[in-house]
Amino acid sequence: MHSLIQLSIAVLLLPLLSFVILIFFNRRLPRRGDFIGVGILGATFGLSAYIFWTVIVQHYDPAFRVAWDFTWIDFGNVPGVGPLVIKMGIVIDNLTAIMLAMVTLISFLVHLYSTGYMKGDKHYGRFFAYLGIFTFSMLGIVLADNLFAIYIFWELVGLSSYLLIGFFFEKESAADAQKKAFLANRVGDIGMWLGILILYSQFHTFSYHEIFGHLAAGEFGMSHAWLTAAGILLFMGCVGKSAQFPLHVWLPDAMEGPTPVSALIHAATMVAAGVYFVARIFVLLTPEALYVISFVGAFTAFMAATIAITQHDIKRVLAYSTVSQLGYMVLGLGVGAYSAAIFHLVTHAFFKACLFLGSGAIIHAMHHEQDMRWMGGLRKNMPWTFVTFSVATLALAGLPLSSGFMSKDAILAGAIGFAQAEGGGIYYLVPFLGFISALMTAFYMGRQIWLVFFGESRTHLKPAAPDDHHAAHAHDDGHEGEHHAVHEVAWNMRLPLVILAALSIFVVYSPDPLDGGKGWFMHMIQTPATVVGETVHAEPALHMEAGESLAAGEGHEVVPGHGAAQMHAETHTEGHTFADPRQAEIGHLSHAAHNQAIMISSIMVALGIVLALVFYVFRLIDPDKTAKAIRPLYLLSFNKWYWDEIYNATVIKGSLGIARLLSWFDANIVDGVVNGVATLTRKFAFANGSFDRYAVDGMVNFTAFFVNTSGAFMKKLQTGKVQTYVVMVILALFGYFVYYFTQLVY
Amino acid sequence: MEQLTTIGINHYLTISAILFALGLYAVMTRKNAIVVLMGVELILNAANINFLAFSHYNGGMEGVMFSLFVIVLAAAEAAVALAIIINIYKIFKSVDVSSIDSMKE
Amino acid sequence: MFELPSGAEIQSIISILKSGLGFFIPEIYLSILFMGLIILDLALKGRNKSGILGWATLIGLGGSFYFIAQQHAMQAGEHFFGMYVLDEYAIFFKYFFVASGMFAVVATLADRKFDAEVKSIGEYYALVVAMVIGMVMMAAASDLLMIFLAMELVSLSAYILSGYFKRDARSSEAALKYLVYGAVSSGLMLYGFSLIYGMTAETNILKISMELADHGYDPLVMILATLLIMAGFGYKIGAFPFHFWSPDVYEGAPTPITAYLSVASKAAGFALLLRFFYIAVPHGVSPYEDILGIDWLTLLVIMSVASMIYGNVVAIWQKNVKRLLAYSSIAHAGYLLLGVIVMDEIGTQAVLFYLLSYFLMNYAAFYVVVLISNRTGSETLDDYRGLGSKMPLAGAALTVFLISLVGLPPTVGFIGKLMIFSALLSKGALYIWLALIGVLTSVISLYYYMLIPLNMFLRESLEPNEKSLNPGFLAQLMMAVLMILTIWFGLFFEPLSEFARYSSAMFGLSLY
Repeated sequence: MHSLIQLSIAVLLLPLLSFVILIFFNRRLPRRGDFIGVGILGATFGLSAYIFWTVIVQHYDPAFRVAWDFTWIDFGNVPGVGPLVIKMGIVIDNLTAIMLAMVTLISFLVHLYSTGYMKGDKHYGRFFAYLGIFTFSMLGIVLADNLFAIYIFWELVGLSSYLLIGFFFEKESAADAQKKAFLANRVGDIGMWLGILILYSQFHTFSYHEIFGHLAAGEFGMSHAWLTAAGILLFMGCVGKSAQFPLHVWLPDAMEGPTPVSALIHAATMVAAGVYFVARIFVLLTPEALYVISFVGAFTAFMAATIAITQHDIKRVLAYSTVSQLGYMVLGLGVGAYSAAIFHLVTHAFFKACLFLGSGAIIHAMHHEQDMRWMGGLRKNMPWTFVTFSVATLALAGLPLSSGFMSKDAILAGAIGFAQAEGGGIYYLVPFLGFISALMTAFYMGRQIWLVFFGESRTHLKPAAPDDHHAAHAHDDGHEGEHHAVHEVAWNMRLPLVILAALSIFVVYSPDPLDGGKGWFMHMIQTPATVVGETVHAEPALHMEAGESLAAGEGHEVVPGHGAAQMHAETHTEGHTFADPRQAEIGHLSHAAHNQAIMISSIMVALGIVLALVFYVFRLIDPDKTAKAIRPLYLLSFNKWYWDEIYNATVIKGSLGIARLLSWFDANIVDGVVNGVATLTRKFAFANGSFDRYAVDGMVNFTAFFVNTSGAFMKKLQTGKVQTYVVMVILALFGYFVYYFTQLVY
Repeated sequence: MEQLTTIGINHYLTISAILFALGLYAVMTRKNAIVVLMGVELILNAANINFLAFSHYNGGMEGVMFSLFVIVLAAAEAAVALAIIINIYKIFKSVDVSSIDSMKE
Repeated sequence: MFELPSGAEIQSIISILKSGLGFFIPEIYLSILFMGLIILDLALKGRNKSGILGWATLIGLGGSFYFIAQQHAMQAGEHFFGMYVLDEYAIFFKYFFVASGMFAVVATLADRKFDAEVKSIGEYYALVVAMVIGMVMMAAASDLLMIFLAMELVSLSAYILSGYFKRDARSSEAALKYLVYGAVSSGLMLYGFSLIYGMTAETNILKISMELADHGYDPLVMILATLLIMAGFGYKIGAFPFHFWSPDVYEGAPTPITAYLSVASKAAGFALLLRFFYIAVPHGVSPYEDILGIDWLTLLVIMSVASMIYGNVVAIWQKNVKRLLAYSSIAHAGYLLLGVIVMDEIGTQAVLFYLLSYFLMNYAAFYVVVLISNRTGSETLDDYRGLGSKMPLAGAALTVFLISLVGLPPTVGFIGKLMIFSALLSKGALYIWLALIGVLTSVISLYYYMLIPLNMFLRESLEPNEKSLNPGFLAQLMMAVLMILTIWFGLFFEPLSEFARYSSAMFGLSLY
């Protein structure tokens, strides 16, 4: 076994150890065992950093790959399925190494941060336990070498996210959000599972590597459309986890969870898992599937950005901005800007985690005030938070010198290249939406910074509501009603902010602030050769020498010294080798579009900032009046495009209608087995009332509840009257007899 | 017609099945513990009739032997049963099987 | 109607009986012990009578090991006109039941409730021995008549024993329910026997098997007969849907008897079931095939799955520890049936091993329950609160036994479950889902078993009575030994599993 594999197994299992220790013993440990969580995660990060160092710095090889697997379950020859062997394995390549380092670092920082943020919470120890199981599952996704394993960890991630969203389960909104997230994710996961099954039915393996090998050898037995379908179904998993349209509705609601959770799960890691998964299966996606992906991404980016403009809740703005940025990444993958998308994934993870933790610090300092309308003037009280938050904001908005600038620009360049390669027309919608979203991003982030940090404090303006939402807050710290002076947070919450802000600066990734392509990152992550047969849209003139393999290639997105003018689709320039002509074409065109993209996006960002200044700083235009003037548009944005209402009216009402129909059927027609059913119904009604309570403690309690209910029903069989026992025996014998008799007759 | 008039094995088996059913019915419906036990006796004797009839028509002594032992055993069981029922009567002041259900669920 | 046997025939009968006696010594010894105990009871006077009787039973039962051990050297075979067999399988159960009887006596000696409830211990120990004899014969019977008689001997003794607290309403109720249920079940079984006898004109199970295989049978009658017989066997093993008597009887009966019934009586049922189904029912070439047109496996599979689910799920609701263990014993019958379903030597070995592990852990658990109820006078879960600090050794020991009952390593219960499941899996993919249900229901059982340690260690006592309760030196030694054994055999299970494998040789077995 390769030593890296051994290390990575340790990395995977350490957070699980943290979970096990904390879930069972947190009450017995001093400080509820938080130091164990933080310590273990620190060690995990240390190991990951070593892996990162070995893979990225020492090997510095784009094609680096180590894999190891073992047979987990061998079912032998299953009737109707064929040989069924489930393997588990680990693969380490550059992508894994980068993701490992990123996930463990953010998780470690969030653990550290939570020691301050969650202090005094009733379930303080349990919180760290949940963080542990989440980190374990996320690392599982990153390390897994096959679809089956990834699916298992995928569900585990869903579960831990469910537990963490509903952490303040006393709040009804948290319990609702938790259910919503769970359901939305389930929808996506079903699609993903179907996709996995399509691939499995063809190749009898779950391993990526083997599936790609079979595909490349042209062994896919079904039509091209099926492969497209498989790709889109797998992408549905990403739609659920990465909150893409139309399943994006859960993510903003998930902000009911504690803020560190929002930073770790709903900004940096879990939602990125969807993008990571699409990147993993990138090579089997057909061009048709990629179109779907690019349009879904572009639309999501645009829609979420429009919503973010009008939200009042500081975390909701960030949530929609997350959806929007995830849309960028998906868009990037869809247009074939593979490395740019992953680059954005990583840069976004750092600056968005920083923003969330920053907002957490603000919320903490403001005693659980989340509405930006009542903030303001925090610049002086919280200088550290202000500076780090601003740095991250610049990165999110995509200003030069920031990491976000480089990655977003690379994606947009890819989008332009894609539109050109496809021959323009409707395909220009993709880069167009991308640029518009960039403008809006700059605008709403400018608005946020201004509302929160500048001007005068507006706390006193807040109307006193009787059902003040933090009165019901589980995190009650006894400061209700009085507004204490706002202070900077303690070091354990400041340090993560500083580290994350530092990682949002360009030098970390590339020496040239204008061009991410010169950095190590784009060198290490290169677009892999597609394994899907012929591409429909590639024109003959654009064919490159197909024999040249990717492994021989150098950086392809952007190569120093190549100006835009030199680049032409037909030109086969040294260092640009693509196995696939379509990719090659997009690659070249996007390189050509690099400067163009920089210019347009800079203009857009500048425009956005100017608009924000006009509206909020100089007050040249009154935002409220503008809102009135374009009331329909404002309402559309403010009400989040009415997606919740639409779903409520269609899906939920529809299901309820069916349920009602069934219950009518039940009440009026199936009135036979009254006694048994009555007992059961009563139990269920009782159970419904306490559903939230049960749901909170997770699957275990849910199962227990289920088992309990059936037990309550079954124990009624034991009536205490010996004659009924005899009747039961006779009935059972009679049942068996009927069964065998029918077998005999037929 | 001859089937019906000439006594053959089917007659014995029918009688035994009827006895068996009656016995089961008594066990399931009667309240008095003594009657319930009489139902059990009916079941045992239904089996006895079977054994004897089969023994006669198949040849061989096993069935006869079997039924002899069953009769002896039924007597022993009745002795134990009556002892238990008398004790039940002492405690519950009743031998109603269906009312003795303090342990359930 | 029948001809009387001639003098020569009578002579030959007598000589066959005489030759059989040599292979029947342990049973004869136990019968003498049984009668001796009755006489001893009559002869003894004085205050220490029950103690002396108990120790006499213990020593007497222990002595029978010597005679059983000698049988290893004997040739396996049939005796008494095919009524009775001697094989390693039967010898295994002889050890098992004698040891069970001894354990029941030990538990009885420890149980203070007997001093309060019973004026004279009288026939109690004799009946325990009678039950041992009955069970030993059940494991070795190879003729329908012998099976019936042995089962009735066990049942009659058990009825009396479960109602031995005559003035206790629950004990009497238990006896009545047991009696009615047991009598009906054995009646049904007897009727089934009569049908089998009618079809084959044989009562020896080996000959029945040959007869059925050679001449065929009417499937409808065969179904009816087997179902009725299953009612009798099912009642002995306490599997769903023939389990209904067990929770009530286990709750009401004196605790040592509950333990005795839940371990020994169940094991006797399994001994019989295995022998009957492996030998009397003719088999196809492989278990996948229906056995001559009727898939008996379905019957057993449904019983097993229903028992595992029912027993475990309903146990969750129990407030009385004895009743809880009763439901759990239904579930254990389900696990044991999984081993029967495998239908080969590996399965038999797994069942025998599981029985050994079940013997150890269930008896031990009941032993602790007896000790606790001696001190607290109660068996309800609420009264276990805070006992962990008052009786630390008992608490720790009970926890170990319960962990073993769940089937977690490093205990003997884990190895038992492991062997059952691996025997199932070795039969191929068809049985995976069965093993899966087994594992899932074990997880459910974790919940209710752990309620007991939870109450003992983590909940405060209802009454603030801080004095520690000492169960006495002998009892503590016993618990410690059992605890060590439970873990010891969980780690070094080789001797036990070898013993089980060696004992799975059944006379007349021609499976596969």
